[in-house]
Amino acid sequence: MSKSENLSGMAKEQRNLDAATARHILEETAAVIPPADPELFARIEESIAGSLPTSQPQQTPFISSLQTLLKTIRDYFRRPQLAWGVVAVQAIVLCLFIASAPIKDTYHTLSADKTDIGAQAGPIFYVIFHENARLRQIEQLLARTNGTIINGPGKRGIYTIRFQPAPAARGKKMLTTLKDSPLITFIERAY
Amino acid sequence: MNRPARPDPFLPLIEQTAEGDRDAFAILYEKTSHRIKVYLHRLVQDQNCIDDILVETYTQVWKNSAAFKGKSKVLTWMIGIARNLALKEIGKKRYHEDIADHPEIEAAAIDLNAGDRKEVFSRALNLLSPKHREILDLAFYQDLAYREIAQILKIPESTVKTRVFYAKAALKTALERMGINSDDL
Repeated sequence: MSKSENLSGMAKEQRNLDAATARHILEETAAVIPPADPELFARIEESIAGSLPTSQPQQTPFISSLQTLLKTIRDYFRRPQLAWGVVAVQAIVLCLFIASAPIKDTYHTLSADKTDIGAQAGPIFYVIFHENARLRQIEQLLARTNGTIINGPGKRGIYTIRFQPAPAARGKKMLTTLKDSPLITFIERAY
Repeated sequence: MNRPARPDPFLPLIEQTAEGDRDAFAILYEKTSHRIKVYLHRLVQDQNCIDDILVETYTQVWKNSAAFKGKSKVLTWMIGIARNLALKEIGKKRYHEDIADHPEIEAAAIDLNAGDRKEVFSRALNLLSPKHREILDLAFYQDLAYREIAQILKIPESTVKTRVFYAKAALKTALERMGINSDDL
């Protein structure tokens, strides 16, 4: 707290009621409150008749039963063998869940379901398919020419396709097939 | 308000009560009931309610006396019991109701030298919220330390200090609204 804030606080405190006055008012007003009626003690005695002080605080039946239930559960899980058993069951359930997770019939792109990391590197072409070409037709064409889409489509609809390595004559024939295909509007070798 | 610890005058009585000594319990009642009643009066104000809460408070004191661990003073513990019961009775809304909720109170011609001095103070206190009356009672009538008040109200000690400050300011305002300058007291 800064010095100015401190001084401001002191000034406010000085303008406030002082403790002695407050004490005086509280004591004067307490003096006019009559002492507790002696009959009240008779009521208290009636209320405690037959009961003895207990070391446990008085609780409602609901709280008491809830605490008992929680204690039972806590004690149950404190047993080490059982705790490890619970961990094992959780691990099994988790494994089953992961194993049964659906990995098929999910969304995929043309290039996603065929992975090719270039181990069998063949010629690569940039291709633009005809806008009316159907997926099935494209897949058939690629199957015929042993091609795999490895990237695309790009912004201008260009696919990158890798073909299986083949002898020169066969490669030339494959290129002719592709160029003549009505499904392809553009094809160019990528280097 | 942080004064050296004094021995608790009611500790032997509560210990004897815990052993089922009804005479000790009666003495404890005799020595503390007015203080508890005054506290309840500040908080509740309805005489019938106060009596019922008082009976229930001492019933609980009797039943739970053996569970008293001495973590606080006996009176602090008893006020805590009375407070819980009183708050159930008055509800939160009334606990926070303040002088701002009584704009109709206006200055009245009051002669402080006459017999209505206590009446004036009572009326001024009644203008405060139960929350402010309570903290003033605990601090200036029950004479509890801030630490003990914090225990009862379950709030930090710093909040107790702040609340005492605002309660005193509210009392000053209430007195001024009744035409009394606190400097004249």
